[in-house]
Amino acid sequence: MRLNILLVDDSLIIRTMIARTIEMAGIPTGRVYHAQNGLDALDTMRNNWIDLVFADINMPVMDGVEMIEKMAADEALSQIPVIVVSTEGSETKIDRLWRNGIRAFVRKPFTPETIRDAVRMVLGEWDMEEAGNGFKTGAF
Amino acid sequence: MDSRQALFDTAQAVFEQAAFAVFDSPEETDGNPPAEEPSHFTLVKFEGPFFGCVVLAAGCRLAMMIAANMLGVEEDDPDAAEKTRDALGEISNMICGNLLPALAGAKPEFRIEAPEHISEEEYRRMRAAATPDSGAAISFSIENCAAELSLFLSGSPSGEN
Repeated sequence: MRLNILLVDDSLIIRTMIARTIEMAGIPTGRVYHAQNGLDALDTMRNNWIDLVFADINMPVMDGVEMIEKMAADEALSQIPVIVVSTEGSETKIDRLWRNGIRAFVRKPFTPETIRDAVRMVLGEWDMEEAGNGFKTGAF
Repeated sequence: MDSRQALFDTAQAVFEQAAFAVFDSPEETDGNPPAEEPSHFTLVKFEGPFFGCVVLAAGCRLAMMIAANMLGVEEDDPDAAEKTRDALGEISNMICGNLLPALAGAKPEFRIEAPEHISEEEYRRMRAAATPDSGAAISFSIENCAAELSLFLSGSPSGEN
């Protein structure tokens, strides 16, 4: 199964880094969508099938916290897992994100291993050898 | 933690992890003039229990190297050239985000603003106006490209000011 992924960050270089890291981690991707802020991301989620969201917190227009709150309040979006990738270092703020339903938190700077581990935590284990570079579909 | 040490440790970790760029050791740079001086100045403001900003000063070659490494492309790749400012902004943002908990502890909340690019004149003016109580600065080099990282504080982490 290939995952449709949405990358939400106001920095193109970070979105490119995450996309590259996902590829390096052997996570099978279908379509990779990009959004520069929470508002664009909500629009993309409402108009496309998204399996997994990687989102920053500090963004212009609509930040990641508000986006996650709006996703939680929307029945159609509330089940999409969100992995937050941020420089955020405040435990208080990170605790609030967990309470709002995020599924994993990755601190910038990140390594391919931390991204892979976060995806594994959210979607379950996958067998790299069996699937070549893919997930076990049992996770879904 | 000492602000200068926190700046150094944070910058070293961020450059290494995000851009695979390692600080030159003193032996490598001893007596050698740097291949380039800083020409890009990236500022990230923050606000919380104390407020201020972090400024990263770096040259073109270093910026290209960082962008290329972050993207996983060659240094002469046009993609890297296009994204040097974005790369410096993100590195500065990561340094700021990781520096604040080192200075203030893990609990306090800060709002970090988007990186902005300032002129060398403005940066030099900020440096000239700084006092030992209002921040800290470090100089380092990566592949003989000189860089500076400065922390400008308004109100100390311990709330003394």
